[in-house]
Amino acid sequence: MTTFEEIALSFDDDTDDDTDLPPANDVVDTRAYDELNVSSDAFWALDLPERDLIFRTLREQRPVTWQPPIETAVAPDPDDPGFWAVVRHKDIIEVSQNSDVFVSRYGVMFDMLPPVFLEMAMSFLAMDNPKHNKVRRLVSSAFTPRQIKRIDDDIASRAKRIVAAAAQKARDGEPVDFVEDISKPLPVEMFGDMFGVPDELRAEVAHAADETQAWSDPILLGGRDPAEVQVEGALKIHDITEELIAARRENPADDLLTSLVNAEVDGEQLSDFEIGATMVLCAVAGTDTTRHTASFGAKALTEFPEQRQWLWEDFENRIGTAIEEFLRWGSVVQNFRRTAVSEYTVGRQQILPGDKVVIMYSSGNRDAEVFGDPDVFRLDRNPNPHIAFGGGGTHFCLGNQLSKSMLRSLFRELHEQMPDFVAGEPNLVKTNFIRGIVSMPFDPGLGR
Amino acid sequence: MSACQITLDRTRCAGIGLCEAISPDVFEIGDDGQLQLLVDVVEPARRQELEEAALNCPTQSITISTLG
Repeated sequence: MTTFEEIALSFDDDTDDDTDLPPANDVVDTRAYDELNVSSDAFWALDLPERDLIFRTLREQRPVTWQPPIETAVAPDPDDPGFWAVVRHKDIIEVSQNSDVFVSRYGVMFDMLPPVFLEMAMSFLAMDNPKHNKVRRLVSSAFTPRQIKRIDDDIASRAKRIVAAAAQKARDGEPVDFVEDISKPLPVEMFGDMFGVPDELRAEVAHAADETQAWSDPILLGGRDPAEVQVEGALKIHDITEELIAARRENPADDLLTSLVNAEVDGEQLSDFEIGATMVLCAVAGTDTTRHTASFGAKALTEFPEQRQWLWEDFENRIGTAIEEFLRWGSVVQNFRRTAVSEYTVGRQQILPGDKVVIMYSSGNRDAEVFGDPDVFRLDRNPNPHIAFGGGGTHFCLGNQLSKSMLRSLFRELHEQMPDFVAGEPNLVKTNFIRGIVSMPFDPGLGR
Repeated sequence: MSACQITLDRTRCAGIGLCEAISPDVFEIGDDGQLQLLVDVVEPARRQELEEAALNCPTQSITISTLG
């Protein structure tokens, strides 16, 4: 068992990869920070509809603005000059698809996080090609449409069991929480199944994954140090992975962890540490995002009964377009960062090598140039070119098909087992990365 | 109308597989995570479907051209 301090010591600043970062340009001082600040704590404490009033002004008037560093970063960097905020749908796509200019290897998180955490958690998310594709392909073949179709029935029967258990809880007179009882269990089970995390460790891994996403949220932190909570969470997953790797070396299994253990990239096996980092990345991406999208979807069906009625009237034919709107409406992953390595102009703004660029997906998903009535929840929206899975390019969400399959099964069971449910007031995650729901009281409406 | 020729840029392709969802008899992601073409020439009547697959590709790795 390694401690936080030991790991932190092994990553002093001299070893971090910034040494080959392109030289920061010297015109930084002449750039003025925009008067609309999207770095402040207050801005990210708003919920999306209010936050989008500011994004909307930027989209309409100044689509690419120079912004100060994040007000309360997890691990503040005094040398951080700021970043370009890219808020229009088309510009986000342009940045996403130009991964030779806007690279990921200098980090992809908007917030400033402890370098040790990034080493422990980013894996192929913070790589560029050709290496990115080589590592990603070690797991990606399990997530293709064909493979997800193969496990679709399994996902459906799990969803049926999970929703039935929640219904039973309600019949027994116990309170039901939508997150704990309905939206969280399915992604956690699927992640555990695909990667080979045994049942008895899944809750622990899911909790550790949540801890890495606590960010600077005072409620989630409950007075604890943000950097420490984050690193401890990642460390927990590394420790569990290390034990599982040893077991897989003796007894290979039909799971992705075994694939990672046996894999070679450029003739070399992955180290246990690299496998651990891939597990942290996939645990967070796998257990967090779909859960929040389902929760926002259930909340929206409660708020907009005519939309629920439309969906319920012909569920199987309508759930496909409905899911796309759940994804746009939730906009759970709100941003990622890139770093420019050559000069490039986007939204008429010249970007220089070394500049950080943050693409704001949640803003792009409400861009009136692309979406009619962007502030309206409309399940028949078609086409719906939302960027909830990213703006295209090589980092496009690996789990997109899995996520849609889980959402389809969960909402099918809600429709069949508790069509009159009422979602209560959500307790929101308020970080500058994930827009989510920690807990949400839920009445299955069985007595109606 | 002439047949459609499909060309792949394997250096760009990240094996995401949206093409496979649209035309499973043409595109397949193998166990190694690499996209394979099950056929590379397809009848002209399917041009629209193939162009949709090319357009939907997040990494723009698919090109549809006219044969001959």
